[in-house]
Amino acid sequence: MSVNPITLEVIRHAFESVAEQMTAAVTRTSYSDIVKEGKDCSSALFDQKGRLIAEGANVPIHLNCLTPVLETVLSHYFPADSLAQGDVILTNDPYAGGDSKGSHHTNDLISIQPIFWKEVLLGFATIMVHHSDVGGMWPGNSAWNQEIWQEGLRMQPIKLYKGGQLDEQLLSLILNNSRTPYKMRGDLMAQVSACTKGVRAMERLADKYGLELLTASAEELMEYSERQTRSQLAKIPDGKYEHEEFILEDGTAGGPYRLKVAIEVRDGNLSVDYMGTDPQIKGPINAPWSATYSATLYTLRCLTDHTIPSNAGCQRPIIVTAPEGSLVNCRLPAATYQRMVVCHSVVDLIMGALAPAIPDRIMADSCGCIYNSGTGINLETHSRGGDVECRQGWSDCCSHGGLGARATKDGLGAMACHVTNVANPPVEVTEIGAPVLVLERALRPNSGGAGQYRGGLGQIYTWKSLAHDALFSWTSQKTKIPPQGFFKGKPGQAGRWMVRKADGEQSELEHAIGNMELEYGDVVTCLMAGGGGYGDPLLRDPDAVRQDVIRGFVSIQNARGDYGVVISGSESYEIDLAATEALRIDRLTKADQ
Amino acid sequence: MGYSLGIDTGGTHTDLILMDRETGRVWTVKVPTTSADPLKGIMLGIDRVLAISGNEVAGLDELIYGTTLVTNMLVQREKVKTGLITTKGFRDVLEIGRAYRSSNIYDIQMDPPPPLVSRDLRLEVTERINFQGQVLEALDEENCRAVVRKLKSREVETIAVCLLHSYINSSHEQRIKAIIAEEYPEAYVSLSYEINPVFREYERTSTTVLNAYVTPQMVEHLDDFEMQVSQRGLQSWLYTMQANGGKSSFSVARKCPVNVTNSGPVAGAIAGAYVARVTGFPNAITLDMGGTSCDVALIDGDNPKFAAESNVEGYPVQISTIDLSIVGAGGGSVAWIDSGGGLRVGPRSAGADPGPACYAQGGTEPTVTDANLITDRLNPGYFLGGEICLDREASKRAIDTFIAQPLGMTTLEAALGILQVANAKMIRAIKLVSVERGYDPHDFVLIAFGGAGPLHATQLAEELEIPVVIVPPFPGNTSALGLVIADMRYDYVATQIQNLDDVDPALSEKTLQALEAQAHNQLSQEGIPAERQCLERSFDLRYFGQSHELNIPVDGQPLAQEALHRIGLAFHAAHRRIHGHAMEGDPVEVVNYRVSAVGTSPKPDFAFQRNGNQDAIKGRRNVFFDSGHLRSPIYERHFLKPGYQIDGPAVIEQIASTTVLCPNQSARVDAHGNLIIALAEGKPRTQ
Repeated sequence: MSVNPITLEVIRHAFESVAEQMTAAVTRTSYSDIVKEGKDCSSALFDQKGRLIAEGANVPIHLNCLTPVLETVLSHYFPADSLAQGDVILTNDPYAGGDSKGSHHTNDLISIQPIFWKEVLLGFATIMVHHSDVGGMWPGNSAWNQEIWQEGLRMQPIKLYKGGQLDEQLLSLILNNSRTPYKMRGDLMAQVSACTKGVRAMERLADKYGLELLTASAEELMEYSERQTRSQLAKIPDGKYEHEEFILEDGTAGGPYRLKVAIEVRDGNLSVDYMGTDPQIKGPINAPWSATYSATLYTLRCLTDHTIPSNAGCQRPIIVTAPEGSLVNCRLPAATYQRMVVCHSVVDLIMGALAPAIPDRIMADSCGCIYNSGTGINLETHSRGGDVECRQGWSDCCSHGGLGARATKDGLGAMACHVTNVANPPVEVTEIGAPVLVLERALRPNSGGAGQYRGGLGQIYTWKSLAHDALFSWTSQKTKIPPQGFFKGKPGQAGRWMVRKADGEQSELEHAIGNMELEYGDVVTCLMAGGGGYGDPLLRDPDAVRQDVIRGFVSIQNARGDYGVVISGSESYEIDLAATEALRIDRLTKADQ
Repeated sequence: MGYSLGIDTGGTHTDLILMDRETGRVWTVKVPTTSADPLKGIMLGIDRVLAISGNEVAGLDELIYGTTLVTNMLVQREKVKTGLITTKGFRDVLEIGRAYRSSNIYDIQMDPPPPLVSRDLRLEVTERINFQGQVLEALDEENCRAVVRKLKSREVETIAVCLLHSYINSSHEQRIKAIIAEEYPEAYVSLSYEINPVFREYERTSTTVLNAYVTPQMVEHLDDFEMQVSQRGLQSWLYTMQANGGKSSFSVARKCPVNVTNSGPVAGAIAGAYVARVTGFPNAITLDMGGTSCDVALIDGDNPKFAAESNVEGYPVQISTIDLSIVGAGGGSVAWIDSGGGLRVGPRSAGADPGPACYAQGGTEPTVTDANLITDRLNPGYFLGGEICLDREASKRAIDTFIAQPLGMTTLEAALGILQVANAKMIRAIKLVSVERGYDPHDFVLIAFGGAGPLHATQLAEELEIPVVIVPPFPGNTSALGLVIADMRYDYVATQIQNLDDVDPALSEKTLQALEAQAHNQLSQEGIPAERQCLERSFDLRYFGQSHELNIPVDGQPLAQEALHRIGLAFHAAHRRIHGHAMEGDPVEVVNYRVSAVGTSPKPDFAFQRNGNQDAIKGRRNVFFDSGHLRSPIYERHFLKPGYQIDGPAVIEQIASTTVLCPNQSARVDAHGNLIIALAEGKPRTQ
């Protein structure tokens, strides 16, 4: 059955709006900061064969992950014929099915609901929501976990609802294993309601168009996206492109560890092979296969055409292989909570590999993964809510550092980095919710890598704990090897962490990942890395440098030192054109020699 | 009683409507919008409408203005030197924002709109208030003076002030205002506490900055407007339409111009609500399709729905605003083929210059209007009442070259395709305000206006299973009608976050009464007698833990414990209806108290004069529908008397608009001159 292009467009909009509507419903009704303010949730719709037909995109790393998870559920746990209307399957186990093709980490609960129409399976509505606590060693799972059992309750796919009936005992088992049962229940109900909303909307579409037309449309949409993706991939010159990146390069937990990729492009097909990547480690930064797959597809979507409808067709021309038991395809019992450390590097890894092939599309290195979270107790100011003993959590800066510069534009400053696309919570919301006083949220001057196009600025975020018994955990990357610039662009500034104790003693944290206890009044400062530059800084338009100086993004000294632009110190910030030209010529000549 | 004049400046045309409030008689005029100096076109329109009505100028006692100035300033990135004063440590909040990619997560080439205040004009003062409103650090006044002097030396015209937690304690912001008045009295000042006293610092800062940014031009524009009007000897009350669907005096608009955002599209929603009321359909979706965009709003129980959050050109604004869904699908929207061979329409528009290919003014690309012409839905000799003669050959050339040949289709198939893709976009816009908010379009009627709305509405209704379509008597001037019938409306809010169970009814009553006193004063100042003042209370509620509230209306009785209980139950029910579940065991939290002050305007029964002696059928032509060419009668709308019945297929033409009636649809003219179109299965539920 061939669908006319018009009906196809109408149905495509319909699919997309159903998925978007599901995601929006979760953020509007959920209870925990990470979901309601951070929007750490995403939805996807699948056809009856488990192929992606539309997504409601918030967090890139979530999305293509739902494909392998659904496959695992259908092939290992609940074959399609064992499902009934009103079933809600729940799972958070990275190792469901034996490999690592499940949830990325135990905090991400995935709900799957079959969609039936006139008793025929039409497809699946799925949502992934980051739940704030599922047990584990530390609140929110933010400790240096060495194995998966330290990361809380692990659920192989189970039915939370059977035929529309909630399994109360199962719910109570789940909530009992969370430090924040109130929030978790609120978030779970929001998730299930939103998923049900998606199911109802798809049923209405089937009422309207009939099963045959919907199925045919989904099929054609996938073919359309595949065609589009192939025509985009065909623009990448055929060849083999290799690159490597290092994680934990500051020596944390025995680092650095190597990530390696070889990308082969042939006739609109593209294979990504991570052979040569180091084995998994005893720490929480290992990426399950599903996470590596998501990060890979995300990057390739960015490098093709972002307007192509997202569905299984985009996945078809791309083959991903990763060595078993490695950092990019871990096996039981590896811990995975912070798999984003690897996933962010995967983005820079692929961009770096393809830089010579498609220099106009890639982005220089970005800040990578940055987590900054605390929890604590203060009954005088925050006696409502929270978990046991009113322990409240606060977190900020889910990777809102500087992004890499682009071929014709500066990098974005203080922006959610690639695969994390989580909004930063308002300071006022943070302070209403938890005993913490935020002292500064600012752009970090001079942190963007110099270049013809400058890397994005990192962020400075400083807070004071007003809690007792406070726990602080931090994660960041690129403290020793900063985000690299491309094509003569300079690296951005590396990230740093500082703690000033209530007694005035100040220290820089030795490692980029860790956790510690804090006293009341201790102050934590996170200096986030800036993005790498693109192109030779000596070619940057002097007027753009001047604007950066006026705005305080670049100091007068750096304007001269990095860009060879001489600017007067007075309020008018005039460029000394003659001195600038002489300085630049001198440097360019030296560089040529 | 006297005369009201509504003026709606759109992207292409400025529409005016003059109403005799006693008899309900109206006169309409359409003049080209003069973008470079909008007042030129407006004054021309005023002169014309007064001339055709023969009205004595002194009798014009109110003039209501819908302006797109706020949006235009942002689109054109007008340079206005704006300063911002923040709490120490937070001057970059405006630039950092919420720091995520909201439009397309794969678009790494995106750039957020640049901040309206550049970093060198964002300065910090030493002070700190905590979330409970306690002063942790007093305002350093010397530091503050130095900051103001610095902004003065940098020649800012207008200053926004937004300090952390000022929504609960405004003392520091007020003190800063006093210091600015001493140090730099010429500067305009916008305090976040006055503009938008609601928590979430980025959105509050953004709203306050936007207000500060548009203030100088808005003040100048309204001053000029007032002067030019008075030069014409007019002694009228002057109002602007606000985003909340109510009019406000020029003096309030000068202080809080951010509220004048979306002034034009909102007027359409108000007019739609009015049409819904007079036709007896309390639940309606309004579709206002002009040259470049299509604006959609939802009317629930005679009133337009409000949005919780909105943005203007990518800048978030937290103001009370009618929930509008605006898509780039208008008569001038250009059709094109993407790299994958998909047919797309808009968002780019050919506008009025060069306009669609058929205008023959140099446009070569096919537009929605061209597609309507090729399908013979439009009459080439009667566009804008014959003002422009449309060139059918030019439309055919454009569609063939850009769409039909590349896709291997006939011209007709391609034209139909363009219409259907444009319709798909509008369907999505309609779903945004309905389906996505928990409303089923099937329970609504569609009220279609704007020059192009009635051309598309009947097909949209079929797609969405909307049973009834209503086309008001003057579709081309309906937005302007919304201006003359709008009530005056001001919204007041106080944030006090507290468990509903812990609320002391007496204290809440005091809070609400304080808001009501403000509201009452404002209306009285503007000459609204007590009997025309209507104050509405509501609570913003959520479950403890949530971040998004639902607005629950509350009656005007003094608050008692029992009433609070009822409010809680109403919240659970609303949550279940809108979101699909309720958490009855969880605590409910009050976030905001709201009072809306409405000064009602009399809404006359319009008297439409129809000349019933002439034959309404003026000819027949073949019109292309989904099922093929059908010989269809062509009616002149002006000759349709109340009670007239028409069966589809048919085309009903009038000066500024054309209504298409599909096969199996039938239309009836009601007593007010509205066309009530019933779809095949649909039956009007009332009247």
